[in-house]
Amino acid sequence: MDATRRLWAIASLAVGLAGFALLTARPLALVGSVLLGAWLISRQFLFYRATTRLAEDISVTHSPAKTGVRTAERIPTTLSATLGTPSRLALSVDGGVPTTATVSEPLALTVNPGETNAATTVDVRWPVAGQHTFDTATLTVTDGLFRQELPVGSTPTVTVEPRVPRNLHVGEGGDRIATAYGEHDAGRLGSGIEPAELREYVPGDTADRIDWNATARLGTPYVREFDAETDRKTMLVVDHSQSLSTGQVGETKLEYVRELALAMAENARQLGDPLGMLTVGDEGVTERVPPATQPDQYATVRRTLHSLSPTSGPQESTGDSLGSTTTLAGVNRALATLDGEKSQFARTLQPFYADRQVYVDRISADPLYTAVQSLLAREQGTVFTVLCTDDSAPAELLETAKLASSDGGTILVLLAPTVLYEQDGLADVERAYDRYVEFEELRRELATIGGVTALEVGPGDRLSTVLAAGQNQRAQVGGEPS
Amino acid sequence: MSTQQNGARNGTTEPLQSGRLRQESLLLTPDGGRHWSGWLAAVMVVGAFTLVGGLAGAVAGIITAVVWALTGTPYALVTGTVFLTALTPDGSDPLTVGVAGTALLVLVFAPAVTATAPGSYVVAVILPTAVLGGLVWLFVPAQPLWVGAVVVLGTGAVIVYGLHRYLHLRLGLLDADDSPAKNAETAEPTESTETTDVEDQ
Repeated sequence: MDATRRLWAIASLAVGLAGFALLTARPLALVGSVLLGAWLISRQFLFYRATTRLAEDISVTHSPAKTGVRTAERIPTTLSATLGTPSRLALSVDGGVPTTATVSEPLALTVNPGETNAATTVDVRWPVAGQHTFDTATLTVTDGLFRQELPVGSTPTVTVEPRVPRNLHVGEGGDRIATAYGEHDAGRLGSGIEPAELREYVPGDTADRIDWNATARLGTPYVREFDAETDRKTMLVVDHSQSLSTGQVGETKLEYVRELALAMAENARQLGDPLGMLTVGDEGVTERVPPATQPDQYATVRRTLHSLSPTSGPQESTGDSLGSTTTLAGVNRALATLDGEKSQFARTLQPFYADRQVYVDRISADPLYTAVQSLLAREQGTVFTVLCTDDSAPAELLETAKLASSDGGTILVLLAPTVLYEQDGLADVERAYDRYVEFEELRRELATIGGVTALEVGPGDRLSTVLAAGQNQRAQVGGEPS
Repeated sequence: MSTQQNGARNGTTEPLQSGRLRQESLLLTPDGGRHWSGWLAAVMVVGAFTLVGGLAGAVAGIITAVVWALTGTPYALVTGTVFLTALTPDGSDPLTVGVAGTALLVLVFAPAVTATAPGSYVVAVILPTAVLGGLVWLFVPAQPLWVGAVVVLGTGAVIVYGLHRYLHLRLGLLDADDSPAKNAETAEPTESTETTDVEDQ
């Protein structure tokens, strides 16, 4: 029980009157002190009685709209106070918001004298992952002279989960691939320990290659072939341009493709494959890790992947370009030649070359394209390229995939469909389905390129929603009378 | 987003932050106004003071009533007491103290008509008045005046503090650190473990 300043003033009056009695040597003044003391004690008694009754009568509850949230999510939280009978005391309740949560306005309410209930709703933001318990609400009771604070109410717990990619889907056309990663096929026979096939002996085979068991069983000489022991040089090309920032915090396209790139890096480490990486922003190559098999190489790749963040957007391109392509130069030459020609043939061809020049300019300026181009120029031999990007530039992506597979290399394209990441992307699910169909057409077109495997990467729950909308759409079309 | 359904100001922890000076408890005068019982008591004060001091007493009574109306009962009690002391320069005879003191006491009783439990309020006023007044009656004639003053103020302080602690006890707010058992543990650490185990069981 705290005394207010006005109460202290009144108590000091009682002391002052006693002093006055001593100064004037008049015991009569002490009567004033007695009356003031009685006045003060009587008010205190009334306050004591009202407060103890109120403590038994009041009910205060914290009611968060959800008890399971994601980081940085705002949830409306209601703080309510209910009294069985009205009280003359003035009440205020200060909701105990955990220090790990933030509120735009205090979670507090007042119950005016005579009222029996009050409630307030405030958005509480949870920026820190973990289990957080509301502090006990503090009820402040006052009658204007005395004030008392006491803890009241429930203390619900809110579980805050971090925003990380969850329900990661990797697949084709909505179907999850059965085995995404694993030991790779060498693609040729040679010295190794894994038996591959039996074939009949042909002149030229050495005698030590004859499989005598098979020869005895089959009656003619047979040779056993083995899978060749190979290393697959893996290059991760990770796009972290601005378009990869689409999505909620912690669940952007980049977060999802990062997860897969990390998995690919771990797979390469387990198999002992040479691993390198190229990160590409809006302005070109931002980081280059040449392929190697040293133990710290994999750690470097992992560290680089973890530090990736979307770049700010396209600016003046200073990318790691090798200059104009032969194709572009050829187009330019042809266009220059046609400019000097006045014939009908030249006038007919000129628009086609002009359009081609714009297209080639655009493709050759694409950071991903130039990055793959530089990669192929630097790396000798067959490279397994893992291209982690999105569908924001389909034409450029197709050309990049064609380029990457042009020298016989294999390429795995991990594509993040924009429609699955946009925050309001599923507001109109039918429209979202149409956009997903467009994406799927792009993915299939990519997959038709020789040596290219194209997989979609996204949140499985959102993909299921889109596919369900598509099924409904088809069911409605099928159910309509013809 | 923030909404409060009772329409009261949101986010405050001081519900009585108003410009008007309040000198009385909400439990007695919820609207903060002066009631007929108070005015009646003020008239009684003017009458009693007139009886004690004649014209000067009437003026003192009126001033006391005005102080009551403007600032509340505590300041009126102080003003009335000072005037009463001045009006009786020869000493305090029992009649004077009885008449004027009763009038001032009625001023203290006046809010009883607006109290939720008038009977309790009257008892809450009578008991401390009787205790503190009795102490004055006991000590002042027999002991030096300062002893009487100290005893009255000290007793009042003990009662106030006792009520304060008792309220905390009823509300369960007394810290474990304040408990005698805890203090004993702190003083005798060699027995603490065993004592705690027994208490826990």
